[in-house]
Formats: sequence, C-alpha cells, structure tokens
Amino acid sequence: MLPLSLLNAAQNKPMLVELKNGETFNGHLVNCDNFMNITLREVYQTNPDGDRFWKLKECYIRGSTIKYLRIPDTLLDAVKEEQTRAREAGRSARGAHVSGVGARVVPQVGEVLRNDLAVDHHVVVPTEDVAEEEVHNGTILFFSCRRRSLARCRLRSI
Amino acid sequence: MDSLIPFTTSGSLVDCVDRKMLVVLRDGRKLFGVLRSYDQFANLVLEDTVERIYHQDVFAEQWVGLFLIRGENVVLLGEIDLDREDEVPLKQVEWDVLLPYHKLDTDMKKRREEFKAQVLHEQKGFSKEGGEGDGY
Repeated sequence: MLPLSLLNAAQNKPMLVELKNGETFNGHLVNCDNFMNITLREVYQTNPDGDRFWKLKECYIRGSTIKYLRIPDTLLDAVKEEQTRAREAGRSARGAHVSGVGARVVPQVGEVLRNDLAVDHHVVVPTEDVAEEEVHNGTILFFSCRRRSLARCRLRSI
Repeated sequence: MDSLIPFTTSGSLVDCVDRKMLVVLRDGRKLFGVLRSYDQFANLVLEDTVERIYHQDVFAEQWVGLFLIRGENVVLLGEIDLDREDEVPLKQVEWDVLLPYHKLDTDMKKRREEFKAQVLHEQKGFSKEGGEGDGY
C-alpha cells in the first residue's frame, strides 16, 4: 500500500517524527493530509542534540519539514490484515455495483462498473484475479478500489 | 532483449519492492530494510529496518523498525545482494561502543564541509548552501 495510505491508517497510533533539522516528536497521530502535514497529540519534543525536552499537548507539523516517520512495526501487518478482511466482507455482501456512497466495494467477475474517467466505456471485470487486485496485463484504467471502481482491468467499449 | 529496452515502461521502483535495500539519507544515515512501497515522490516504506554506522574498519547496527521516509531526503537506493550480504570485510561491534566515534567522524566531516563552503564562497564566488547542508 502507498506510503501516505499507511500514514492514514496509522491514525491514533504512536509514532516518532524526525524533522530535517534533527528535532524529534514522539506522539500519537491525530490526522494527516496529502502533503504529509500532520497533527499529533501528547507529544514529547526533543531538540537535535537530544538534551532538551518539551511536552506538548498537541502540535502541527508541516509535511515539508519532515525527514522521516518511525511507525510501530505491527501496523503494516495490521493494515494488510484489515484490507483482506474488508475485501472478504465486501465480497460476501454482494449486489450490483452502485456508484454509491464511498463504501469500498469489491467488484465481481463479469460485473460492469460505471467509472468517472472513461464515460464512453463500461468497465468489465474480466477475471477473479483482477478482482483480487493482482497484477494484470493489458491494463488501461488504474484507479483505487476505495473510489468505488476497479483497480486494474481492461476497457471494453459500449 | 536489448532492442526492447526503449519500449519498456519508464523507470520505476516496482522492481525494488519486497527487496532488501540500502537507503542513504541526506543527513548521511544508512538504512537497510525491505522496501514495501513507494509513491510518485519516492516516499518509501521500509520494513524491518536496521541503521548501520561505520568507522574505519568496524561497523555497528541498530534495529529501528518500520520507516516512512519522505522522498526528498533520500540520496540513493541500492539493492542488497543477499548472497553476498555477509561478505563484509569489516568487524562488527556494539552500537553504543561505536556511536561516539561515529559522532566524531560526522562532526569533523561537517566542519570540513562548512570550511570548504566558506572558502569557496569567499575566494571563488560560489554561493552558500541554504538551510541544513547535506551530511552524506
């Protein structure tokens, strides 16, 4: 999964943020955005030399100042696990696809999806493998399952 | 096969995913970990990361876990050949033992670079580097 999606999934988890100037911030992630701007709560700030400390209830860090983030190792597995569970749940709660309310829907084999990008094409889910989000050849469309459309599949004209 | 090279897709990190990689950061840090994902900015997710420091013919390692590295801080990414990974002609020691020596090295390097930049600026008309310099 994408780095920023991992960050989004890390909300409420503790992490360490190191800035370009070497300052470190230990705290729980409240929120983040596409620029990697983040807000943390219950923060312990340390200066670059590691000899001065501050406790902050909350702080905002601009993404452009971040060098890296250290995240709990259990998070990657937890997120992958959650993705597979969501996929199973979506699969069992089946029905015709609706350009619906932002709920993640796993497309079924043979299903025709409507999509925002290619208005004069229907997207047909060709195989089970594609629905499983595995790599597939001959792709044209490429957008996220979370946006109600299929990750990878061939376009077929109407 | 060579004739197909111009027609293959543009360079990407997809071939590096799930491989053990060396990441060198702009502050000079060397991180070894499994690349799990990346994006258009080359932000990286590195799993099971180990930071390694060197001094003369000796090195030390420290396990640092899961990293999300902002792409602009990366100098280079190199693939580790797992077969040759252990053929390191250096002796391994404890992290805490080597850390002070490593710090001395980095400080000296930093001073040298600053002095160089100063001389180049004053005598040769080079412009000064703004912000934090690069430590690598």
